[in-house]
Amino acid sequence: MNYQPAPFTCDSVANRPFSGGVPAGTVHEFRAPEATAGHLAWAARLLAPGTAPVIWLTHALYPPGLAAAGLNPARCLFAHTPDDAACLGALEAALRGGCAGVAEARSCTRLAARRLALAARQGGGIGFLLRHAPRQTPLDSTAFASRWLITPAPGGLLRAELLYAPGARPAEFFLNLETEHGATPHDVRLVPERRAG
Amino acid sequence: MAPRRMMSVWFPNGAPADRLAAWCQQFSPLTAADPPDGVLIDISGCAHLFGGEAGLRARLLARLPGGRLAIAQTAAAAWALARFGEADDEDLDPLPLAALNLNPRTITRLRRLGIRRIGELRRLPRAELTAGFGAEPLLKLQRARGEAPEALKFFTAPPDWRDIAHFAEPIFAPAQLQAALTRLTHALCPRLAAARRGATSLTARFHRTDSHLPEFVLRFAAPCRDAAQISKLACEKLNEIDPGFGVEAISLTANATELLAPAQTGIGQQTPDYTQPINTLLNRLGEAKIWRAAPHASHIPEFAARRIPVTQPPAIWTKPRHRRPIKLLDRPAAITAIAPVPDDPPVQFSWQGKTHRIARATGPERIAREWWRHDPQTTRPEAEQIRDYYEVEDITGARFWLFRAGTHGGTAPVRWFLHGFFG
Repeated sequence: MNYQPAPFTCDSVANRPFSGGVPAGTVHEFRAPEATAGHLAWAARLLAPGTAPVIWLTHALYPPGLAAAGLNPARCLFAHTPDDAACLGALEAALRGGCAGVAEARSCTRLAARRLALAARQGGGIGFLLRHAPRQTPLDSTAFASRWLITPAPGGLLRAELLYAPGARPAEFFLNLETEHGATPHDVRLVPERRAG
Repeated sequence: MAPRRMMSVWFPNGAPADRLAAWCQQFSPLTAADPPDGVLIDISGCAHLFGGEAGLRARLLARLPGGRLAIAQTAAAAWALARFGEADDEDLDPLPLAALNLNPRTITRLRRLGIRRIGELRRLPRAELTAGFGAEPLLKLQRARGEAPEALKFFTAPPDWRDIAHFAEPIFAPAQLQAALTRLTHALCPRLAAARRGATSLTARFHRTDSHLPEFVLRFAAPCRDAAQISKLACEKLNEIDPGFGVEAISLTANATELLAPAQTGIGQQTPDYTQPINTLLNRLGEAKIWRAAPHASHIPEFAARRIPVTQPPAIWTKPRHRRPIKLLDRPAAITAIAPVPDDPPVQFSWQGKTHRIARATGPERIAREWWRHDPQTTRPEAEQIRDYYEVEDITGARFWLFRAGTHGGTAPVRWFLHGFFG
């Protein structure tokens, strides 16, 4: 039987992640260790080029920091939710309406992940689920278009490890989020020859 | 407190009382129809707009030829004076008993005792008056003299955008309530569309059989008259309503409306409309839990952004001149840091039981206290009320925003805080 792997939704693995922008109607999960904010910074950078409103369901986000990351805070709405269920429900409502949404949750069940992916596909919104979680958890879902582990790397870089994407092999990238003159805002400079320190 | 001034207008053979009351709204916001042929106007604080009470009197009489009017401190006294009194005399005593609007039988019995005028009635012992004639004459007398309260039914204009559904039998099943709300919404929205308006706030009130009146308010980030969206939001809000033993009527009122031009559909490129998810979140989370950010002219990092409601248009942002973290703690967290004196970045700090060894650092960015907002502190000089911010990177690459409060060699020891995260 001729097996055809599903096309990788983000980008071809050999190249830069999301170099053509984040595809509409997809949800991506970014994980990061405690006391780091690389996943927030990368989500802000990836959402910078769009025009849809961005709904942030996160804690302690700093709007001038968004502006520094290239995302116009005037496009953003900030919401506070009492618990994870309300947070994921709000993200679902945002994605279904076509808005971009970034939610910070402690946990996410497989059902919730499937619902988020469906809502994004129907509404065409771009979603990011941010978690302070390890590389593997018992409730890992394959509903999301991709799953990444974002850890800081020395020299002002971010190490983005692709944990899961349909049809893609695990890969590792080093991102430099500093905006360069002339680069499109979402285009991040890759540092391929370095290993994590 | 200034005394109340009530005006009673008696205009026989004129327009019906309720129409007259609506017309009299031009003189005071508080007018009450006084059937069959009178109006009561509360002119307290309004008469000076028309040249005092005399001017108001002249103006009304010019427009209501053949009418009679009187001004007194109570509604009942004004009523009596308008019908039985002399001009410019507020004394009730010489008026006949009929001026108190008493029962004719009571008047006849009082006349038999030789009591024909209000003054004579007033001089009777009150206990005996009540014992002999019931509570009515005394109550009316007290009302006229301002000694007893009187409930007046002032004219209130009906809200422009209200729809009510009455039910023959009380309803309480969620499906019935949802259907009723949907019907009401579909009745209200075409009216709004015809007037080219959209609601920014709606109130649904549930008239329960036990006279409770639970209600919920729907808010919209932008004017809205989309019946499907409104009924969906209303059905979601229905969870908050306890129907008790049943709901007899439901009213849906648009509290505030704004102009909303009809949108061209099906031609050219459509601008996507993102108000629906924002409205959903606004009503689900509440007004205080969703906001936009607006820049605020302050160098203190935590005050550089403030919250504005989502109903306001977005503010204009510029890129900050100095590097700012993506995540800022609400309150700076105290850390213990080892730093070379006098003003070098730390070589190591520990926070929440974890030690971070610093590999790189940039800074400082010195931010002084906004001295013009505070009273001067005598214990610590203003020059020491500063923060020196450093962007530091530990050996794993995690980047933090730290600051040192105070200066070395000052009156108080310096303290180190963690304020934000870059990545």
